[in-house]
Amino acid sequence: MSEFIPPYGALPYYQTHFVVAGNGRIFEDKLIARTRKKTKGVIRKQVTDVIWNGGQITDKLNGDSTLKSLLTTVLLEEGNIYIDPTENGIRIYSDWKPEYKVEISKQTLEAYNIIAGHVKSYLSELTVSM
Amino acid sequence: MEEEKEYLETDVRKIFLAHLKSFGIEAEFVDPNKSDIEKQPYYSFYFSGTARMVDSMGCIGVRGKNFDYIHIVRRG
Repeated sequence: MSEFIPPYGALPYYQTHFVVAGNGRIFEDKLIARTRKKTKGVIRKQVTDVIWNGGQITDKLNGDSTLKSLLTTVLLEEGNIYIDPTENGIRIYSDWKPEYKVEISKQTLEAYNIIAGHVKSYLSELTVSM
Repeated sequence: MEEEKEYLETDVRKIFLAHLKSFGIEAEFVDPNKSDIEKQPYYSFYFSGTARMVDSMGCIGVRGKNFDYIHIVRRG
């Protein structure tokens, strides 16, 4: 057991990071991105528009119409989606979720898969052009 | 058999892995000593409001998808 006992307890909030292997730090400024959404309504909340903000990868992500239509339903549950390049991989994640909401839908998984596909293809383009 | 049905799984990693397998995805736990995914830092800290105190819960390797791993982290 560690000699240092932290004075805080872990909170029941989780995040699932979908990691694309590779060093993202090299192309950090090009790969970093996050969603910005426009919503309508309070009780029956709807996402009317989604745009990606960030580096050059946003050109690809904003141009994908199937991803955009998928995100209008997915972002109601996920909040926002971030692409965060770190040393040990490019991490795609959403906002923090409580323990009972950890499970994800098939649509959400498909959205993450499409985003990871864009990241992977863009990463291979960048490594070839180096 | 009846007792087994009443047993509730509380491990989030196992719940998530079973959930992935229900979609027909090939996935399995990754040994933390064999991959660098569970090594800090988990964030670039570029986005404001990124949590500083984060615990790694486990890593799941995925086959047949564009992402290679799913890393579950817990706040605090």
